[in-house]
Amino acid sequence: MLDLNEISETLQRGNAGKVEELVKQALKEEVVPKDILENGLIKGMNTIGVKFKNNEVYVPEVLIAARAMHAGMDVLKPKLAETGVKNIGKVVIGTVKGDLHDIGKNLVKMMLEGAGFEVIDLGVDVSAEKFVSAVKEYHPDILGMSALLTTTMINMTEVIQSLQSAELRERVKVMIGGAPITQNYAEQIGADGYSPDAASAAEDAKKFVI
Amino acid sequence: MGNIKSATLLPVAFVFHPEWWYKNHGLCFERDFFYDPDIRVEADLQMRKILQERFGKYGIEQDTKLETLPCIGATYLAAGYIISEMFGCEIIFSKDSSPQVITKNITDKESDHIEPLYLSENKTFQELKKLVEKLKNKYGYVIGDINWQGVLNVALDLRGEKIFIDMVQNQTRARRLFSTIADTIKEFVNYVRSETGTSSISVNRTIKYIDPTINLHSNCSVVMISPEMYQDLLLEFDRNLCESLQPYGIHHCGNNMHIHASGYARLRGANFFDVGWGSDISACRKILPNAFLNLRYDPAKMRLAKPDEVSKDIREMLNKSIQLEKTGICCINMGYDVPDENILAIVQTVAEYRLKILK
Repeated sequence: MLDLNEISETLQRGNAGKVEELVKQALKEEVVPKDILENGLIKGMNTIGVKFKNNEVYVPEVLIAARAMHAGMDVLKPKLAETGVKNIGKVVIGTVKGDLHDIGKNLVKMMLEGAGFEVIDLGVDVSAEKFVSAVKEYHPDILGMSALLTTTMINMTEVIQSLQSAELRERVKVMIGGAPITQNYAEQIGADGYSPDAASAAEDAKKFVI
Repeated sequence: MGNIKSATLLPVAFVFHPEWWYKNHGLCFERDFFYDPDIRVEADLQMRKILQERFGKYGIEQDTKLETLPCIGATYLAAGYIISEMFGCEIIFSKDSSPQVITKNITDKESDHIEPLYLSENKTFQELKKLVEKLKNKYGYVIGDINWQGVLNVALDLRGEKIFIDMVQNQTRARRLFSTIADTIKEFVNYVRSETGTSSISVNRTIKYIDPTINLHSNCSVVMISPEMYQDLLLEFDRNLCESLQPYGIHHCGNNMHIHASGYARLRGANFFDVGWGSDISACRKILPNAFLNLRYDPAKMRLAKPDEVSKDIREMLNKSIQLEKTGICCINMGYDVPDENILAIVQTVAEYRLKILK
């Protein structure tokens, strides 16, 4: 019988091919898909997240682990759907207008997916209108905004104001992050949460939906 | 390590984001700003005038000549794009922002076959050369330089996030790309400094007060990798550049310079380091006892903090650096609403320390 820890550890090493193989093996052995997800894939990504937060691993290691997670999820997704397993929440995410940087946003996306969220990625240089439209269309639990530049972080305020104008602000939690962002700034602009790194973002997001 | 000693005791440098120039003084940063000889020279003069009028009373750019000078690049901005543009990345120029590079996302195959550029055939380089020649014809000489980015920064622009995957899973591919970029950088820097005598005032203005001939390699993206990975994969290229481009320095704007300082200490001949805000300055000084540490203050904090808080931070930074004759302070990329009082707070705090040293 396959030990699901093996999936978690293989994922942490970033061996996508082996993770895919192990997930297939677990399904063949009739392990419940939800267990494979929670005790294999999510557990592995959570561990990577903690190591990232503690500076034990860096961006390359997180990226290869996330690739391995995706390889496993590609196999597992249809089975999860069949058994009625749902995501723990939905997040719309993007880098704000005027900012083309996406590595930080992508890391957050990966950690959120690794934590069991469905993530709708709007990409970079996302206008306030586009964020608002996405909230209307996808009904997310959380709206995540990223900015790397001190000069673009101010556009987060515009998004929050646009949500208010569209009477959507109460329907969604707003989380922000990025190199120049601080807790103080989040409070100042009326965001619900600030996370200093991708792993913390996933942990903080869970608090909003669980 | 290191014989750098600043002619100006505790030099201070400020660089404003294009948004500051645009919203406060109406300057635009479209492509013409960088490549049109007349606009280039006019904008350069205008920037010097603005800085002198607004901050001359604080001693900033006080001695700047207010005459047209044939400056080939934006030495009052933080604008690294040209090497990426030379490699074919699309650049977005806009009125109130530095040029933004669109990641090219080259394929595995393209990465495996990438070759150093022939500058004589490169469109972007030839456009720059045309600018240099036009200015030389008119003035008889040229000055200034253009930010030449860094090996990992450009690799990210070319390959996107996949470069990080290569660094773990296909190091031969990663090294080929790094080597190609490093060779191109070397040729580019040699050209620029042969024309103007400098290469890196556009990377950090502090070097103007220390040794304008310092060649400053930007390691902005090194913040994202482990010290082991830097030393395994990138140190060799820094060494190579350091040997070829003397005097040499490293720009590390990330908040973890202290974890990379041991790697940088292995670069014989690198004596100048930009130390990113949030880095452990004491640890950096311990590992690099004789190097010039140019301490970067947080531009976001500059917007929001009170002058007292700014002064307190600067004092803490200077106290941690210990060797003040080998220390500088800078704040780069400040937005449009940065209060002048905070600029003054830095200037005055540094002045206190200068007095202390002289006593």
